[in-house]
Amino acid sequence: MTLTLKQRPMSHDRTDPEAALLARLRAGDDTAFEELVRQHQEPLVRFTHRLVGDLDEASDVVQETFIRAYEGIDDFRGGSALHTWLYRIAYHQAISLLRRRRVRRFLRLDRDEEFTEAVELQLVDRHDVVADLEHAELMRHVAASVEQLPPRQRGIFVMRHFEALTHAEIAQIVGRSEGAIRAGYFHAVRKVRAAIGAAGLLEDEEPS
Amino acid sequence: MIGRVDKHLSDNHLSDDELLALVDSDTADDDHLSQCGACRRRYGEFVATLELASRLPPTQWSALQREALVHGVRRRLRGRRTVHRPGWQPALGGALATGVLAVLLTLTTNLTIGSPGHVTVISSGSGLVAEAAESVHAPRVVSEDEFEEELDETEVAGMIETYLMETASADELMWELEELSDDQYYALLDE
Repeated sequence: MTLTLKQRPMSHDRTDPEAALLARLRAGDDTAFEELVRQHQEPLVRFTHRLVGDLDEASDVVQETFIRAYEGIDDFRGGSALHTWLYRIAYHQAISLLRRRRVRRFLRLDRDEEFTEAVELQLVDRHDVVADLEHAELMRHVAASVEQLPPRQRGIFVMRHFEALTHAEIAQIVGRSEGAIRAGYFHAVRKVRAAIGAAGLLEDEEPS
Repeated sequence: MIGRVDKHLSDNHLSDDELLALVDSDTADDDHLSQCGACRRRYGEFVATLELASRLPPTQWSALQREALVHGVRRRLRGRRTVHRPGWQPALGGALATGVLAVLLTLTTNLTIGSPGHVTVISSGSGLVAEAAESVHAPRVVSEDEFEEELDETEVAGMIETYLMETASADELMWELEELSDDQYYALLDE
């Protein structure tokens, strides 16, 4: 069995081109801002899409992220890399959206949708999953197991596993200690494993 | 590596956190793992879990969507600039309005100032604040009509507040909830 397919962390040190871009941004250069949007939109969309689960909403979150970045560029002190700062804004926007969604569910405004999801899950026979489900169905379960994570844990899991950010970077983004991030990530993996295991998706896996 | 000693006995298995630390560091090079089948199996389950998660389809973000996002940001920024006014404009407008009101009220109150214990209206930076000025002279007897008039204003304010509280849309409610701290929010959910 091969190990996880996660990407290796990139070097996130602020480079000279980034410093130059920052200087142009602070000078109010609109072309620099458009450059920033073009450079960073894709990873941010990927990240927020994993987090909120809907591409349109992810796109809205990223737009809002850039607007806030534009308005707050003078407050950016450069204590972290530019992309870490953008992730931080996007993360908080996405978490805010997830919280609003949870409140909506709490207020039972999304009751019908939730009910449908619950029925769909009940219809799946645990013991037949591995044998019968096609790849898409399998992935639906895996996606559901990630989506069921509490917002913060999901954010940490997505940043670590899919975006390959370091624990230190995630700590900067979330505003918690590295130890707390590590613990949060481990909790998340345990929960995903439990959910996948409960669906019988780990039964035939051979240890490496 | 994690600080662990003497985990070679089968009844002294690695904890989940220790296993995950190994998974997270992309290494299975551990003495205990090589000797303990149970821990190797659990380690394999964690690795398989992450592998499955890695197989989730990537986000499809087309060139068209990229351009749409850039355009969207550009449009929103342009919209903000259009409505943006220099900082002095609202302040000047507010000051002018306050000044006009102050003049009018001064003229009005001067006509009735013969009686002590009058009601003054003073202007503050953020708006108008009405307060009853205690006169050093004998207090003016407030007529029943005047009292009812003042009470009505309070009642109206209360009614507006009640209306807003009772008819706030879901979005407004969300907005309020968003202002809550995490602890307050989760306490609310627990309730």
